[in-house]
Amino acid sequence: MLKIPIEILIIGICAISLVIVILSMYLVLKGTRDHIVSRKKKKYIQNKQDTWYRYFNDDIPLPSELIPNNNSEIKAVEEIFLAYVENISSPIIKKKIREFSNQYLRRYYLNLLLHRRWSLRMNALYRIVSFEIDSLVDECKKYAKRAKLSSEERFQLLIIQSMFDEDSFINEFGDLLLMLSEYEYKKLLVSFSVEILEKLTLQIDEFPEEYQYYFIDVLGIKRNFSFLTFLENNLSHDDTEIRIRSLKAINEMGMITDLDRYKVFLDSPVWEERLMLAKLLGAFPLEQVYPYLEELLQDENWWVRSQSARTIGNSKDGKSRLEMFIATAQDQYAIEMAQEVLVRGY
Amino acid sequence: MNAVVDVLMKFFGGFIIFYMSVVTVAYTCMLIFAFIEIRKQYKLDKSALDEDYIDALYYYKPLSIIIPAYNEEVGIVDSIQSVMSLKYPQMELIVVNDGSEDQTQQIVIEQFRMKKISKAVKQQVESKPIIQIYQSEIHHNLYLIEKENGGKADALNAGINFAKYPYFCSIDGDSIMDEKSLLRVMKPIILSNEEVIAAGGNVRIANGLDIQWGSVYQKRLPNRPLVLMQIIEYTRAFMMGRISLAKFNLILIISGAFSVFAKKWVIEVGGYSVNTIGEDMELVVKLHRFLRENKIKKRIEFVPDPVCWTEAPESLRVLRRQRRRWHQGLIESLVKHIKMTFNPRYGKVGMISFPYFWLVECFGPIIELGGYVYVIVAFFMGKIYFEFAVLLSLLFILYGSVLSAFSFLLEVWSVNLYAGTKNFFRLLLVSFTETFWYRPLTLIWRCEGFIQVFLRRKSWGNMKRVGLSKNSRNKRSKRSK
Amino acid sequence: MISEYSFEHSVTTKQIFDALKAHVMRSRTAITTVFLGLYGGSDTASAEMPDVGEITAFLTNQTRKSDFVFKISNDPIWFMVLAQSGEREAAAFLRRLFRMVRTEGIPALNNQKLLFSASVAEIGNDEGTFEELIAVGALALKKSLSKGPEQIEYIASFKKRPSEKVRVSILEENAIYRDVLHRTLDNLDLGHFELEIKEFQDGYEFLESKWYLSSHTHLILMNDILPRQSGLDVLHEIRRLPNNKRIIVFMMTKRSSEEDMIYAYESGVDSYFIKPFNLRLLEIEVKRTFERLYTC
Repeated sequence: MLKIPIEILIIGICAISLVIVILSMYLVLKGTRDHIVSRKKKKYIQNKQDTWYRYFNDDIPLPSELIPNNNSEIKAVEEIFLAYVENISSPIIKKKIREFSNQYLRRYYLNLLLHRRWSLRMNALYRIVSFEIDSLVDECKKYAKRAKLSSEERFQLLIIQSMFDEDSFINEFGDLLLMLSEYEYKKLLVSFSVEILEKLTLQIDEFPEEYQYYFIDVLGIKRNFSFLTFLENNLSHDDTEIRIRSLKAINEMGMITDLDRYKVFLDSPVWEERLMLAKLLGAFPLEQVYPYLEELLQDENWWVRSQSARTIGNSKDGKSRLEMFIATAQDQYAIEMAQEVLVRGY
Repeated sequence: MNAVVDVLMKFFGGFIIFYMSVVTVAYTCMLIFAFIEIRKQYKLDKSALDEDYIDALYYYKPLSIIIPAYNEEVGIVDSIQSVMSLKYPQMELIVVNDGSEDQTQQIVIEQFRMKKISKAVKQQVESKPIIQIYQSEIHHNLYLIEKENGGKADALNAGINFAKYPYFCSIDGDSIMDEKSLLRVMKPIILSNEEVIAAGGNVRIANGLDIQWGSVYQKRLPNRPLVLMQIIEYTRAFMMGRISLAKFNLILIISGAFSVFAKKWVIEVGGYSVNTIGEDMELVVKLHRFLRENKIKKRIEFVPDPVCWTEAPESLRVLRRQRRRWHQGLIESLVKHIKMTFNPRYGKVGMISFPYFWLVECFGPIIELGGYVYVIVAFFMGKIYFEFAVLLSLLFILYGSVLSAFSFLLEVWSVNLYAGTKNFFRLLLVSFTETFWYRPLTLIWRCEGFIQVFLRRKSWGNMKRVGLSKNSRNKRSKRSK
Repeated sequence: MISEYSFEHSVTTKQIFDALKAHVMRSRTAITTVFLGLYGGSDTASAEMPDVGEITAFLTNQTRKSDFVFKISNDPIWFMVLAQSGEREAAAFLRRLFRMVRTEGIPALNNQKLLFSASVAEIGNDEGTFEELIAVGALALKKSLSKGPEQIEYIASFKKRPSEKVRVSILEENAIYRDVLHRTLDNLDLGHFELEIKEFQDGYEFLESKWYLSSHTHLILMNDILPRQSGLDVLHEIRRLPNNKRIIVFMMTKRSSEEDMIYAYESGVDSYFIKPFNLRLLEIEVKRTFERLYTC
């Protein structure tokens, strides 16, 4: 009764063992090969990094010895380039890397780009951005038209488009953004120039809500005063979230001029707005805003109290004001908060 | 009489063989699935992505790391040091001293020049009172909370209350983080538009590594077969369980040694449960439950590559205690949320995860152990059950050794942590022996845990630490002089 | 009580000069010596000579508290040591003095108007002796007096700054970039500073090397995040040393958070570079830092 399954199992286990042996041999071979490649790579880097340094920093033509002869050497060049690109900002070096990549690495990356393995294609897409290989942009355009694209590929292709084909990118931006996650969207926006962002503020109302929020966040990151009017106009927006985020962005810039515009948030029913106000008031001399801060120090919300105590404590003469407050106030919560800031010292 | 025995033997034999076949097939499927997943990422240059993320403070989420520490004097400095060397744009580290009786607190204060600070902490989840808060003079983002002893869960809750960032990561006090682990574990959270609310990382065994000041210097294999076996076991659990379960949002356990959570949701479910042994699993189950009950579309992920090194028990005694506790924790959570089992309201988690955990993880050890007993009994009873015994033995080998060997090969192919031909064959050989000694041992311990659930005993599960780092060991001896 | 003490030896001019000269090396601040001669002073008969004592008092009054004025016996010549001044500061001072005595005269001598000429020697090292200086200075003064009133002769032979060994440590994980930094600093022309550069992979290796414990001026160029001990650990360790002012710390980072930057400066970083940055920027920063080490 059990004979047959036993036999099958024995045969099965033998077969599997054979497979394991074969796989082991394969893996051992692969290990050795990887080791050889990495040794060659190391050797190239060791021998050539001096020449590369001179080529990048002096005004000399490309020494022919630098041109890689095989894949291990290409990988070595890749590593050298990455070390430069990631650590050094220099238009000259960037240009040299671009020219070299376009001429000598194009074939290599084109092969990767057309590879059927997703991970290798991704590697190529990353390098095209890092080394600015513009001769592959047309190939990327074709790539972008493929039916099946992973979200990673799509995003990387968008970055390439935004780098090398700005106009078409801006025109299509409204449609493109729907495919992006918050992270991707912000990452793209941050890389844009102020002029482009200003153009985009005009069409922001057409964006879906969340993308409007992210957009405002990015304006804060950019810390550019040309957006201040836009942000201040948002303060009377119907959407609470837009108001809060605009306040946050304005706070990032660290400078506000017109106090009256912000006073209304003192009585806001939304605690986040009061919190942001408590933060923003730090930009003014304490004498001018102390009454408001004292009111916020006795707010019903913990975070608002905490922030106002900190804002007062950080200002000039803030410490003595807090001491005075502790001596005279009634609100026990507020007093505790003030004491904490005094003890901690910030 | 003989007839009754015969029927019983045949029935149990058949039942165990059936169970083993089903489980073997299921695991094989998971292994194949893991292979497909890993193949996708094969040769992907992840460093390109890492570089991308590190300067991206704007879109990266700041994060608080919490290390609960109870009598961790040997490993704590290395753990902190490894966190301070992490590549991540913005984070803070909160070490929670849960009323340690050893030198944990003094060592941390001395090594990182901690100074007392006063800070009001908003009690968002329940925890025992805080005695004193310290901040480092060297690293402005390093804090030490001294609190009354309340257990690991309580310590984590205190950390959550103190944490100022929207995400937190819990790490064991004896673990070492890979410098890029945080970047990578946060990746799914960020790329998913925060749909992922918790992510667990891959935990590996640190024994035998050359660790200096919280950085892994050389990856050497430990000598003890018991530790080698655990290396294989972790690989196996990772390849055959975590990857596939996570893909379908079925995961119930993400390692307590290294996992990231969105603070908001953890507070929503009341933080870690203080009265459980397996607080990490309990939290994940609570999150699943909360999400399903409130119809929120969020996920829990497992990230294959973030690596956290943790110290594995080196003696049978300690390992036994660890496994008993794990099993107790598992059963406790399963019992507590028993109503989720086969409850369509809880979706896949209720219909697949829970039954799977009940059958394979909870009762599985009893059935398997029964199988081992059966094989021995059958051999003694002679010819009649011989075939049963042979068939079952072969299944055990297939299930234990062969699948472990395959998991290991897959690991070598994708990561190859312990490079070198010698290491490779050593581990491969060890993986083949699993069925014959390690598996039965762990089965016995887990069954013990099963029994202990009814006796109900709780403790921190003190593990005897030898310390990972040479430095810390030297330092300790210097200090004691 | 104290007034009852009387010192066995009063300090000589040479001793004061030698002490100041030794200080030049320690503080990297030059001193300048001036021989000031009354124009036409040697031609006039001694009866017509103005009261030299009053002139000495006047000159002492005009110089700073840290400077010294000595009268040369028998000749209407004064030897001045201007501490913490270079040639240019000394020249500016002299021109002011010339104009003053020419237009307003010396108040204590009924506003008698006088003309001077001078020779100036900037002392940048401790090689020249007092005797050499006197000989060369006197000769130069003679030359300037022969040219006419209000002339200044400059003596260059004592000016040369000694070459100084400066240690540089590069703490960076990426080997290729570490090498780039090394080469860049190596190619830098820093005048009399000689760089001795060493590379380190991480903070632990650096701290273990004890290389920073010598009394050399030491420039540390490091990443904020390093394996084993991080940049901030190193910084803290260094800033605890007794004479840590000689250590200059440049920190490189990938994190652009202002909070981190403020904290780094608070912890004692001298300059903060956000990666990627231009190597020219680093070069200029290093140059400027070393130039500033010599205050004049």
